[in-house]
Amino acid sequence: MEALSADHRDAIIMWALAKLDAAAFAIASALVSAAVLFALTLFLVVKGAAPGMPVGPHLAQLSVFFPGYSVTVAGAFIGAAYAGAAGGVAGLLLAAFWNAVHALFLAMIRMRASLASYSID
Amino acid sequence: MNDPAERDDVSERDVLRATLSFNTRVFSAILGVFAGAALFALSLVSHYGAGTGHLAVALIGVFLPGYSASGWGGALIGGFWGIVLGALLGAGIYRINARHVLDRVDELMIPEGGAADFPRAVLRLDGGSLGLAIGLVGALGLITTTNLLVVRGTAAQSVHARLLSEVLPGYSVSPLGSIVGAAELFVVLYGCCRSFVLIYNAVARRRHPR
Repeated sequence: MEALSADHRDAIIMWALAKLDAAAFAIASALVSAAVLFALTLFLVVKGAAPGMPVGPHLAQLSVFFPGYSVTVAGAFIGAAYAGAAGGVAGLLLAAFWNAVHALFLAMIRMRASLASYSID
Repeated sequence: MNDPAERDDVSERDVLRATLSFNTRVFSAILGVFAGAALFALSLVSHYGAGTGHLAVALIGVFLPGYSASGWGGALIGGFWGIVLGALLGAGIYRINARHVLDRVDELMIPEGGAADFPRAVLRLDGGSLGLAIGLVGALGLITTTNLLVVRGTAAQSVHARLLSEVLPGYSVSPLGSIVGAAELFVVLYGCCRSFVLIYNAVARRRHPR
């Protein structure tokens, strides 16, 4: 590995301690989660099942956690709304934890630096 | 070590290693806690709830010995497995992701100013690296779990695993089927990650103009 310039080194530290934009992370998580469940449900609906067999019986078990969800066109919209909400909350929590740990770490560094500056020896 | 130039070089490497190591631990811990809490909650909901979450717990329990919907014992074992596996996955994902990102570190953050002693920045993500990391972890996970069923000799009875072929055409509970399914899963996960990063970066750029 070649030696890094001071600017690059500072950039690495700044990147390592950078915050996640929690709102953007939550929005992206929500949209992707909603799109995935929507697409998966519609895929199974379009694919269909053999006569007399239910469509997507295993995916339909999500109704345990998402009341009203079913493997139908209407269910795809309902499922997308639920998945969006669940994905958004999960994304928000992940970003919030990430930011909190880094903020705590920075606060500790600042406190140590502050204590060191008061050293009398 | 007495040469100042060499000492500076060593400290720069240390900076790189330390930042990677710190963030890997943070991401591992977060993913471990998330996975542990999810498995713990799923087990308890299945045990005390009236729904049919039992099937999901039973299917996961095939790969996580001791995990069941039998009450607090099974839930705690699931929590333990979740923490261990989540932490390992988190470490893998962060390492693969960061290995490629560090070359373009300047492009991957939006400086925010802030405190004079340490300017903060908002993270931008790299879709290719994240897609590669999560796609690889997902694909390797599918190959591992499928071949675990094959090695155990229960492949023929794995009707639920076989259902994956409904959404991953070509997948089967066999070594060859696992590779076909893994390739398809990689493509799906890669696409999802690219979409996720596209949305995240667009919103973050809008909220934090340089």
